[in-house]
Amino acid sequence: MLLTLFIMLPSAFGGNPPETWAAIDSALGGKIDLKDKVVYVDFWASWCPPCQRSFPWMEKLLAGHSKDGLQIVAINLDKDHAAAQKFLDKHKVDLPVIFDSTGSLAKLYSIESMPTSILYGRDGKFRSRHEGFVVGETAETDSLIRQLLGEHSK
Amino acid sequence: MRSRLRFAILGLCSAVLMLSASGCATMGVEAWERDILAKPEMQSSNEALDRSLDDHIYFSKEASSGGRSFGGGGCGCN
Repeated sequence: MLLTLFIMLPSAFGGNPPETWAAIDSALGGKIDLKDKVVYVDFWASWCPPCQRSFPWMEKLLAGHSKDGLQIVAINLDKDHAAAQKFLDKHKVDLPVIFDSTGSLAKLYSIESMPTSILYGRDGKFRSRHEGFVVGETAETDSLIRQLLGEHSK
Repeated sequence: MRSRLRFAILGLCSAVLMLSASGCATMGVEAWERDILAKPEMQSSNEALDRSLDDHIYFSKEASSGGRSFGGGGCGCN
């Protein structure tokens, strides 16, 4: 039992993601209005292969649902800004990107593996967290996003 | 009285142990700091086929997997 406690204690204090997207909004500096939108936050780095594979899916997702009120915010955690920019240029990524080279947002969200995605509903409240990305295994996330888009903010 | 004292000492020891164990949670490389570890030259073997064959042996003969580039080492990706 003690061993279980030892293992569980750090995660218990690791904390859930912030309940609202206020920190993301602040990092965006008012460039994008997140109010009344379903916000999908993606933590990624250019050297992380699953993160790279998630970009075509995210762009397709945004193309299909931006008019319904979906907003994707990609948070780059590369220490080497040039490497991140090179990736974005090469793949012609058309998503808003926050560069968090110091990892301050990653620490706030207790990121343990990459990519990690966080979903906020139209009411701005935290709904779900997902770690990892596998091409072809996004049905659950797709469905949750559609469900959140169907909800009305209070 | 003695049993109360014993219980208190046991509780104190447990608390110290738990605190010292949770202290290790912040050690090591964070997920977003693994850029150099993610490079191909940082792998224990540069032969992908060799690695996959070894992994298969560990998995099928020793019922173990992991410890290479996921779940603790490498790039920290899924």
